[in-house]
This record gives sequence, C-alpha cells and structure tokens, in this order.
Amino acid sequence: MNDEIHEIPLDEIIVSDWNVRRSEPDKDLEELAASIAKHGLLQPVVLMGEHGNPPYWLIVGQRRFLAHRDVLRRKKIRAIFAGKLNRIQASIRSLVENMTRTDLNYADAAKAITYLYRQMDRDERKVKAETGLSLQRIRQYVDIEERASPKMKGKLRSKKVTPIDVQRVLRAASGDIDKADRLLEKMERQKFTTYQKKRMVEYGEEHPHANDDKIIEEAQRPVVERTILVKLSDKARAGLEKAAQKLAMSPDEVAAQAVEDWLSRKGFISA
Amino acid sequence: MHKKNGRSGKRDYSQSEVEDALAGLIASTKRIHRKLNLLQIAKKIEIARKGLGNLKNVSEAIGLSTEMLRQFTRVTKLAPKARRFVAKGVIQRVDIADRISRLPAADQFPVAQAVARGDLNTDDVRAIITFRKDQPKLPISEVISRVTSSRNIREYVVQFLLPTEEQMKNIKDRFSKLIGQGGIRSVNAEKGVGTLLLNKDGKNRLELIAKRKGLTKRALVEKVISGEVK
Repeated sequence: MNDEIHEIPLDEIIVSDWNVRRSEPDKDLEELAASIAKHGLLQPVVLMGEHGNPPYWLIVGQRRFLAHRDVLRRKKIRAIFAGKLNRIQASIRSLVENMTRTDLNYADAAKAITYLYRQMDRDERKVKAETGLSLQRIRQYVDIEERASPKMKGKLRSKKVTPIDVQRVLRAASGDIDKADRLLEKMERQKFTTYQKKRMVEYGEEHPHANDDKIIEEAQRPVVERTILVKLSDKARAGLEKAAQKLAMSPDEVAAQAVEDWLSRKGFISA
Repeated sequence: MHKKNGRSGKRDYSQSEVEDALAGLIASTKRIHRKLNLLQIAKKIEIARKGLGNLKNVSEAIGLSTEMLRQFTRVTKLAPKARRFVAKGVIQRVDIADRISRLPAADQFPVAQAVARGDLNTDDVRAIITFRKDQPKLPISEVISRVTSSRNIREYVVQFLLPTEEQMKNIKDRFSKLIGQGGIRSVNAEKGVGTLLLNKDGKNRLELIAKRKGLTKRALVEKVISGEVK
C-alpha cells in the first residue's frame, strides 16, 4: 500500500467488480458532488494496479468517482494505490473501508462477507480477524445471504425490513422459503410488535407444518406465562440472592434456570 | 480546591472530589438498592472521568465496564420532563432510563410516566423502541397500547396444602380482603391441594404487603392460609 496521492484521469479507471458496494451507488450523488465542489475531495479513492500502467481498478470510492465523472464532469480524481491484490484481499479492503461508513447497504455487506467466509474455508474466525467484525454479526450476515430469498434481500436493500426480522421469518418458516416470504409480508402488514414476532418464531418452530396464516394467527394470541411462587428455606433464599447479584439476573430468572437444570438432569424434561 | 477551566468554562476537580466520586460509584453501581439516584451517579461518573482522564480508567478503577458506565451517563440525555422521574428516584433501573433516552424527546415523558406507574417493564420499553422505529407516525399512546396489549399474560401461581380444618372459602375470602378481588384470577382446591392464581396486579399487591410486613411473598401466603394474617 502506497499512501502517495496521484491525480489520475477518470478514463483510466474501471469500477472493479470486487467493489462491495452494489446497491444504489448513485444515491444522493448530487449532494456528494456539491460537497466535493465546496470542500474538495477529502479522501482519495483507492485503486488497484500499478501507477503508470493503466487501466486501474477502483476498489474503494465508487460514489466519489461517479460524482467526479457524472455530476462534476471532472477529468481527474485524487487516488492512492493499494498495490497488487488478489480478489479476497481487494474484497476485504473494500469491505473494511465501507463498513466503517454507515451507509453501506446490509445486503451488499452480507454478500461481501459471505464471499470472504466461503473463500476462507467457511471459518468465521478468519473473517473476524480480517474485518474486525464480531462473530455474531458475521454469522448473521452469512445466515441471511445463504438463506434469504431475493425478495427478502430486496426489502433489506430498501430498508423496509430489518435483518433480525428476516432471520425471524426464516426460523418461523422452518426452511420453507415461500412460507418465509409470506410471513414477512403479513408481519409487515399487521405491524407486529416484538412480542408478536417472538411468538411467531416460537409457534413456527414448534409447528413446522403449520401454514403461514396459522402462524400469524397464533402470533397475535397472547400466551399465558405462569410464575410459580415456591417456599424456600432461608439458606436457599440467601443463595438465590447471592447468585442473582453475581450473575446480574433477577432471583426469578435464577430460580427458573436452577429448576429447569435440575429437572433436565433428572430426566423429567427433555434437554 | 478546584479551579475553573479557562477555555471550556467547566470545572476541574480536586483529588479528593475524584476519590469521593469513585467511592460513591463503587457503593452505588454494584447493588440494586442504591443511595444515589441515576443522575447523581452520572454526575459522579463525569467527575471521575475528568479526574482520571477517560472512561476506561474509571472502568478499571471501579471494576465496571465502560459500556455500563456509558449507560449511566446517557441518563443525562433524557428530556427534562422524563428526567424528573429519575431525579426523584421513581425510575431506578439504568437499563430502563437508558432505553427511554433513545426515544424521540416528545415520546420520553409518556413512556417514563407509564414506567413510573408500573405499567411497563424493561422488555416493554425495549419493544416500544423497536415498534416506534417501525411506526414513526403513530401517536406514542397508540405505540404503548399496541405493545402492552400484545405482550403475554402473566399469571402467578401459589400452590399449598389445604389445612384439614380450613374451608377453602375462608382462605379465598382472606386473600380477597388482603389483595383485593381484582388481583385474583381464581382460587381452587383439588385433592387437598389449593391453587391460588394471581394476575400481575395481585402479585404486585402481595409483594407490597409482604415487603411492609418484612416477609417474602410466599411466607405471607402461608400466614394468610394459616389465618395468622387476615
């Protein structure tokens, strides 16, 4: 990586397929161009290739490049060279640069991260080491990229749904992608609260053969949750309070967990 | 002991003020029953942060994560009307106060008020925030109502052995008198085992009376069954 900044003719630059930004690269381009016209280009774009030997492939800064070319009608742009990179390295570079910005589309990020995940022997720890993303986030991206339907990805791109909701319908539909699409549509239409979404997942997972209408109907029906008040010795109560403090849980949660563990160990409930 | 910072106009704090703040934080952030309200804790965090340079140092000094410290400091971002509930100690849970602070300013007071009334818990507030993001145009009262009406119904079950000499009706009357008929869903007996089913109001009422009497809920129930408490 060479940090030296060069003025590169725009017609020597090709937008690389390896750039992770795929959705709406020209969104709000006028605003970006106005900002560049007023303040100049604060951050040079990043190119792949050898300086002096065009063409060069643009891996970071697609919107800045388009603003120069299509709105400002400039001939040159300030750029730095990332040196010779293979496709994985280029994807990582493009991804890391874009992930630090808030406007990278979720579906684009999921696609890029899943590509890296597949290239890195499906080892999420390697992806984490390269991108700095948490394992949980990597798993979510990969899960959505590998399981979500095109319709769901479209809704993610247009920010009509959240990634968590997509994962919810996928779980509730037990692998039936058409059912998941219908659940997502109905869930949006009915304006579900978090509680209803959770019940949808619970019911869907427990009843894999239930159709989408039944799952939606059950999701809207509140469930009765019963808390049993039990008599405890002073010793047990003190222990419960100590555990609650230490584990930062409520005494009720600790007690429920303890009872469930005991029942499970003794074979009274299945694990 | 302290001087004004010429550039920002904000105070610098003396060593003893910083140490007091740290001691106050240790005493108040690691237990459920705190002497300080959340705004006072946020103030002490600010003093400690200035004295030690940054939140990471405060975190190491008192053994609380920086994320938790940030949660406490976000309480100061509450809109003034919602902040009053925190200042009065009516809202004591930092996670709830933090979550309310993430709502649009106009929404904060109605939600804080509902929390103060005991109508909303942490999960409800979290659900309100998510629902509000999905439905930015709905009135906040409608958002609260949609969330509360969609939550699961909580019931509290107390099972007990029926004293042989006692009539179920008498036990039922004593519970009705103590916590009010509205708090009881049902009282039944089968094969010598009584089952008392309370709704959330009934459970809260039982909890309050038990607290006043210095008893656990279950111990209070035993005393009602035996006729010791009427």
